[in-house]
Amino acid sequence: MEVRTGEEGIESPLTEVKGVSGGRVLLPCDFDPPISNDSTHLVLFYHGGIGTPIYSVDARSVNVDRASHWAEESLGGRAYMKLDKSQRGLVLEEVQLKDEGDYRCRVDFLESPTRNIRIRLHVVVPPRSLTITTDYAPKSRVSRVAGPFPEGAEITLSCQVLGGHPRPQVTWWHEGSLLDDVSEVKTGQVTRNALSLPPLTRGDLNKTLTCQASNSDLIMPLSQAITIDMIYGPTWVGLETEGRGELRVGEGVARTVTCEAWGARPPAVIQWWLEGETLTHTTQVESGEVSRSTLTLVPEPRHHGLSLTCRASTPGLPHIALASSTKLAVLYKPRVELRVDPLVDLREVEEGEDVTFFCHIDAHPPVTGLQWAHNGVPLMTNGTIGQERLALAGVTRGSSGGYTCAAANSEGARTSNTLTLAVKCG
Amino acid sequence: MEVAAGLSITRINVPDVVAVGEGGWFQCEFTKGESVYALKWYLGLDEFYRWTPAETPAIRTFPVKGNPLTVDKAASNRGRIKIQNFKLGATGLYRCEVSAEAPSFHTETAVATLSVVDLPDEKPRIVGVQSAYQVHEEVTVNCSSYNSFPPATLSFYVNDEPAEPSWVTHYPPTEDPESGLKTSVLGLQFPLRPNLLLSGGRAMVKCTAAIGDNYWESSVVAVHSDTPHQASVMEGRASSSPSHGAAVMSAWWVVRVVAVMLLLHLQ
Repeated sequence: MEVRTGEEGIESPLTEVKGVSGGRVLLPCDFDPPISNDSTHLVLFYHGGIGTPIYSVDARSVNVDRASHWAEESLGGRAYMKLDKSQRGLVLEEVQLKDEGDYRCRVDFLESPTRNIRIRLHVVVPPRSLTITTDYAPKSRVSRVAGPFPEGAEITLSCQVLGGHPRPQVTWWHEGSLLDDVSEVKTGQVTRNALSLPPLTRGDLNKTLTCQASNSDLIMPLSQAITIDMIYGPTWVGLETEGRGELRVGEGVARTVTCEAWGARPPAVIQWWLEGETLTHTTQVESGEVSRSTLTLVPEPRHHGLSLTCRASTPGLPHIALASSTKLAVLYKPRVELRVDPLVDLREVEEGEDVTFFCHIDAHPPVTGLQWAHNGVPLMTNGTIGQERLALAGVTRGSSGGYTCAAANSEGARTSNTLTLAVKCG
Repeated sequence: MEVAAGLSITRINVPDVVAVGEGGWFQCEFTKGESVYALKWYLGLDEFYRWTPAETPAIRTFPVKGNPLTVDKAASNRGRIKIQNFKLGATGLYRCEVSAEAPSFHTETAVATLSVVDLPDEKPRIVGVQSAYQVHEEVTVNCSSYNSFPPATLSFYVNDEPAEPSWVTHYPPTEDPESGLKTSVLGLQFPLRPNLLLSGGRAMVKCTAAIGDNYWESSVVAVHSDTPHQASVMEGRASSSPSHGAAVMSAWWVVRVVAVMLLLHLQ
């Protein structure tokens, strides 16, 4: 006939007790007799309810406070029965996970029925470690700062907790708001909660996210906070002449030109070009997300009409660059050169022949006045011939001498080289 | 859980069902491996018997709230105890717990269940029978088994055959507020068809009451029809008493004679 041991039987009231691993816990048991003239004979503590008690106090022939105590060897001296009025019961020190379970305290009295008390001990083991990693290339462990990530990056932050009994709740928070309390991995000693963030925007810079692991309100939760770092390109670049379309500079006058770039992190690096040529006489300062580069330029007439460009890009994001350009308008005095047709030899011209002089002018702004002179005496020219051509028809001996042309603009005037005409006689 | 050498419970015996007022024996036997410090019997969470061989007296009993059972100390020894006067409150789970002496105090337990029944004081009662019914009239009766625990299970039979399920109505048992005892009620309604009438023009209605294997009783009433001699001659279910058969035969004979005479007459 099978004998039922009755572990599934009656449910006497249960006291639930929590202890932290390594700490101390009291399994309460009142062993005072229910009536005053009765005495306590025996106190037995069972782990699991039946079998051999792990602790016993034999007070059958003496008073309870002088009774002999016996403890099971496997307890390693960690248990002792507390007899004073304030806290009655079995004290367990250096609590371990294997101590967890149901206990029964049985108190045998002389005259009164036996008292049985059930105690359930929950052992809390704090989690051992918490590690945050990111899946964005490169996959890496995050200690304080995650990133830097570009705008639009879809990142997943993974918080992995090792250990902890009962299994810890791993949660993600942002400034007191719960973001995610579902752990995707819960096997063995590993509990992991992955937080998938929506595509990053600039507003996510320096956002603080905290991962917390907690399995009991008896101990402080394990937690780690990280901040999001981002990298993004400039939103605006501008030369100081923006809007006017051209930069007017005077020939030979050193001029500083500044270019600013805003909204880049880290601050943008600014480069300069004049048409295809890189300019290097620049200095750059940065503050926050603003970069300012100053170029020192000594304009020459040949620079007139060329495009001056400044280009800003963030280191690490070379493909995101903004540029601003302007045309240089260089103001210079006229360069004047008097020429004659190369086939004509001014010393071999005979009387009655035609000679045409050409006054070649390079000036900006365009010349306002042109003056021909013969031997220093200004000549009046009129007619339909362009002023840049002096046509002498039918030269005479009196036409000999030195000819010059002079041109003037807002920057000044200059006289050309002298070409001497020597008309041959007869 | 380590197994101590020696002490274990080899047998626990408690009656399955007892009637109120009865007595019985409980047995709890154990192997002798170690000397025993105490053997205790519990009803639920309450200890009611203890045997501690090293103490004087060796046997102690403790009252349980409501006194559902009484232990005869003089007749009891060790794990074998004599119980008197079970009450309904003694229904429950019984536990025998044996503990060895110091230093181990190794403890073993075993459990068994017992149910106490309170049997009815009288046989089931059938009420509502009229003195006579017309043939095909509805017969409506009730059967009750009074004041038992648990309530008795009732059944109806008509002429020793189980009543058709459509004739039978089940009612929930009622409870006496003082004693907590239950009364079962079963209803029967059927048309008094001629084929149900036995000799004497009546049908026999029987009600049985049962409680497990402990109780079985029955009562019978006769349901009389108004014209007892209108026994059907066509149905084969008519009972076969000799006088009845002879009357039938003589009636047939008369019919045939008349038929022959008519035929002869027509010719």
